[in-house]
Amino acid sequence: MFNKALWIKEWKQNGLLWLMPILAFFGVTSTRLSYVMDSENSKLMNLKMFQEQGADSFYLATNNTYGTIIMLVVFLCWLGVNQIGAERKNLMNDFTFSLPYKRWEIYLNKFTVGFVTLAASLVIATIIDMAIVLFSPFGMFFSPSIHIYEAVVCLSILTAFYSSLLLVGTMTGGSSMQLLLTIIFNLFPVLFAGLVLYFVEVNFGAENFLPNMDFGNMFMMLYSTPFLMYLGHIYPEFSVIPVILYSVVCLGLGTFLYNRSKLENNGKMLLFAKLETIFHFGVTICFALLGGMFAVVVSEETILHYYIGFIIFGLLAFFGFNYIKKVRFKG
Amino acid sequence: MLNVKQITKMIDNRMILDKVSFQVSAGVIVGLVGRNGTGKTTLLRTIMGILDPEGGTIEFEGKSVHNFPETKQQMLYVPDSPEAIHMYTPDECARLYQAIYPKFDHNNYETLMERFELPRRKKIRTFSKGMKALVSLILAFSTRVSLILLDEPTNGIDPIVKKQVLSMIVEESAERQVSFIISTHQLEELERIADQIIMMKNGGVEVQTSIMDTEERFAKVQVVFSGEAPQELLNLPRIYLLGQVGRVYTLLIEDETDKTLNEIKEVKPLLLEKLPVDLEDLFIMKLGGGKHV
Repeated sequence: MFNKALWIKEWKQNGLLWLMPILAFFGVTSTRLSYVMDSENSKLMNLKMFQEQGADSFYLATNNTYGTIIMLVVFLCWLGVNQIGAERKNLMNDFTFSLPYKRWEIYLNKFTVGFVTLAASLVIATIIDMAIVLFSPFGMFFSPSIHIYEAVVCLSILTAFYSSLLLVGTMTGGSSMQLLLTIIFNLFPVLFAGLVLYFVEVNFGAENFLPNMDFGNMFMMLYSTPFLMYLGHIYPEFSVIPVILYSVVCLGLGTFLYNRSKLENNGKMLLFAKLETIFHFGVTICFALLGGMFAVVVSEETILHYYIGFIIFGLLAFFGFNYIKKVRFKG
Repeated sequence: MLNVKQITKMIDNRMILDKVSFQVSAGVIVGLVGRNGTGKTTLLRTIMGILDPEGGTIEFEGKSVHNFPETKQQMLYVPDSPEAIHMYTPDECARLYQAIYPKFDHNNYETLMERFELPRRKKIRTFSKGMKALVSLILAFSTRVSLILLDEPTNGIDPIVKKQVLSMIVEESAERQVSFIISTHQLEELERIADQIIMMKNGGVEVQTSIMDTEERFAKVQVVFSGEAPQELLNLPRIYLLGQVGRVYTLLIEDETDKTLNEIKEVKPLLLEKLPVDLEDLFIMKLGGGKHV
């Protein structure tokens, strides 16, 4: 599967990949380094506090998983968009597809370049982080399993996000659309659930309807993207299995779609005409629901205003999408 | 070597390639000509497997290029603008090509780079248009593939280098049996080097001919008629009016040239002079640039 030529090409094309280990280092170690490099007085006070509260409190206070994830997500956005979306706006895509390799091989090598760099960066950063704790006055709290847990959480969440970003890139015609749709995809379940709940509340009354709803299923839906899986978990019960499954599904779908790429549609919103119908329907419904919610919130009136907003926003979205799907974007 | 069979390609519900078929043998230089927007670049991109056709197949040495992309180790596409390699230096690009094309000839690359005095460690994006084109061609020649597709290869190159590039193409074709498909508007260049000409019109192949065929099948004459021009004669489907200045008519005759020339002689023109047929005449006649009498 490893292809030297494709790796050379990807490394050259994504010249800032070397930044990833540096970002991972700052993300993983920054909080603990700040404790270690604190003044002697503060260090003694903190040491005393953690001794009283237990070893776990040291790790809870110095955990920077959120920061690491956010920092690396921004970097992965650049990487994924540069690998797929940005290729579409110049002749790079022609060059890539003219190479004597199968498209799935090209796609998997793109993914592997990002994944291996990410994994290596996190492993190195975690080893340094362990050394920082171990050889500091806080060494008495050292727990390798917590470091490994944090690294696994970061790696799995970021891999899942990265695979979804590449998947969206196989469907969209350019970098801006890839980025926009990735953000929407990753927040979609929560936003959509919010819109549907509002619709239910306005039409049927929350008190009549909500008690009958299956909240188990609702939460399954809410936690169906990597970020939401992470935000919804309770420490230390994070399960990597759904996140790995999510990555595998995204990677499989991405490979399938990349194999069928329609380069003649580069620059358009979507590469596949069949997907346009699904998106058209989805966008119209979401905007209609949003319009209804907006009308009620603004007017503080009820069902009639809801449907006026619903219809106006729905129609605007329907015709707007009709127009946008024919436009070729430069970015 | 290359067999293009009934290729169709639609883009935005418009038929860009309409049942295009032709064959290219080893060591042959094919000129691909046509007016702007007739599908020449789309055809090259489809041959290279960049675009998937809706119908038909493209086979290289009997294997489908789309199903077996490894066949492309013997094919190379040089687009009109080498944007894809802008971020590389020529040496970096040579290393990449070496990893892709197993027969890459590094000595040949070094020799040609020296011959054209091109810098090897400067980013290609800093090069002039002509230098970029030249580097792309040098890299392409050094891959030692059997088929090279060139899209407007001499764009931006000065006349002296252009002459050298054209002779390199002829050398490669004659000595190593490399085939070329060259899409260009430079008809006089093609006339000098091409063995075959494919003229495209509205996404289809309008004419496929060799330069020798052209000389046999077509005749170009300048005629001055003594009185009114005989419309009956000029309206014959095999006669095309290339130009008219006063009473001087320049005509291109397709097929049955001797018979048609005799018919013209019968009306006793004041002047009947045979001129050499060039590709541009054929281009104007076949691709709609001229007026059919």
